[in-house]
Amino acid sequence: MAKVLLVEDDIALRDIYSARFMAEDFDIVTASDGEMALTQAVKEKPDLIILDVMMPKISGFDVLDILRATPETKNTKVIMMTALSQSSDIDKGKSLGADEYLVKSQVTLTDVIKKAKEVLAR
Amino acid sequence: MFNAAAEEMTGWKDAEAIGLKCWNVMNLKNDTDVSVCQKDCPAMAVWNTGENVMRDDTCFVKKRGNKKIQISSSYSPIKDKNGKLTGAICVFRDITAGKEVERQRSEFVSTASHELRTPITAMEGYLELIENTKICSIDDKAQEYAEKARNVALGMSTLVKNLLAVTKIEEGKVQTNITNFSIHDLSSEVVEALGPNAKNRNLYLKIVEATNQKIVGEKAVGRSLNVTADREQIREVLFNLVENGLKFTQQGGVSLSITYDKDFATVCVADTGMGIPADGQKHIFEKFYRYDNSATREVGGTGLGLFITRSIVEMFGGSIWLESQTGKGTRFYFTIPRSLD
Repeated sequence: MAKVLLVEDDIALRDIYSARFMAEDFDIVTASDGEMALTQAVKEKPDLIILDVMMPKISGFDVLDILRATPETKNTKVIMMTALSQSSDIDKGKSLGADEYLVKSQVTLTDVIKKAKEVLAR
Repeated sequence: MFNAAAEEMTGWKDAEAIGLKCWNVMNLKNDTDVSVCQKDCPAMAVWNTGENVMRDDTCFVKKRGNKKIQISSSYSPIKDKNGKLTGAICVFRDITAGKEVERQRSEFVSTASHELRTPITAMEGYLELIENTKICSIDDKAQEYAEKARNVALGMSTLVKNLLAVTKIEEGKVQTNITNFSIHDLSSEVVEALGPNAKNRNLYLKIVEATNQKIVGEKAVGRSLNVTADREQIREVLFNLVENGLKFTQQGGVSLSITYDKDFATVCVADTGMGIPADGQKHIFEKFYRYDNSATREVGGTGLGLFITRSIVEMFGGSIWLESQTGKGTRFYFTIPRSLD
C-alpha cells in the first residue's frame, strides 16, 4: 500500500483529499504547512508527496527545494498542486524537480488520483 | 498663461514656467512611462490640424520631484478673427481620485473572488465524496440531488473564475508568458481533456486534420506549425470554445480544425448545435450578454466566457469571428500569429 503525504493548508481540502485517497486504498498522512511537511517527509518516508504551493510559513516551492537537497527525500515523488496557472510557475516547479505540476482549477479529484497512480508507477 | 491648478499639478510656478519649453513643464508620459511630448505631442496635433484633440489614454503630468498624476486632457485651438491659429488652450483634469475608486473596486472583486473560490472547491469536493460509492452509500434520490448540487457548485466556480479573469483583463493586469508552441498539440490536449464530457453526452469531439495544405511560398506545411502567444491563455480560449460547443449541442458534436497562412494560424471550432440567430451574433462577444430563449436558459452560463475569449485572442494580436445558422450549428474562428522561427 503506497503512502502519500498530503500537504495542504486548507482544512476542508485536506479532509476531502484524505477521504478520496483512502477510498483508493492509499495510506495517508497530512501536513498543514511547509515546516510540518518537511518533518513528516523525513519521519513518515512517504512514497509520494502531494504539495500545495501557496502555504503559510514556507511556500511549496521552498519545501520542494529543501526536499530535493535532503538525502532522505531527494528521490521521493512529488506532485505540486496550485492555484497558479502561469507557465512561469509551472516551469519553476518542474525545474525544482516536481514530478508533476497540477493546476487546481484545471483538475478534478479523479484526475489527481489518476496522476498519483501514474507517478507512482514510473 | 498658466493657472493656479496648473501650478499645483506640474509643480512649476507661473513665473518659472513662462518661457520654458512646454515639454519641460508638462512632461507627459503614457502608461508605459514613455514620453509622449517628443513624438506624439497633442498640442502639436492641434497646431497641425487646427482641430480639437482629446486624450483619454493615460497620460501623466510629472511634477518636479517625479510625482505622477493621472490625467485626462483636451486641447483646443485659439484662432484669430481671420481663422489663423495663434495658440492652444490645454485643459488637464486630475483623475487620480477616479482611478483610485476604480482600483479599489477591482481589488474588492478580486479579493472576494479569491475568498469564494476555496469554499466552492470544498463544496464540490464534499459533494463528489457523497457521490462516490466507495466512500458513501446513499439512495438514488440522494445521488440525483447530490449530482445536481455539484453542477450548481461547478457553475458557481466558473462564475467566480470568470469574474476574476474579467477584472484582470479590465485592469490590464493579465500576466503573460509568451512562447512559441504548437497549436495542434495544444488542441489535442484540450480534446483529450474534454473528451469525457463529450462522451457522457454521446457527442463526438475530434480534430479534423487538414490534408495537403500548402502555403504560398513555403515548400510544405507540417501539421504542427508554431504560434506565438501565452500557451495557458490560448488553452483557456480553446476550452471556452469547445465547452460552449458541447454545451449547446444535442446531437452530433464538435470538431476542431487548424489552417495556416503566411502570418496566422486559424483555428475553427465547429459544432452541430442549436446555432445563434443573427440578432444574437452581433452581441455575442459582449460582457454579460447571453442570447435569451428557452433553450439557452436551460443550458445556463454567465455571459462572460466569450468576452474573455475575445479579449485573450486580441491580446495576442489575433481576431475572432463566427458563422452560424439557427438549427445547424456554429463555427467559431480565431487567429493567432505564427512564430517567426
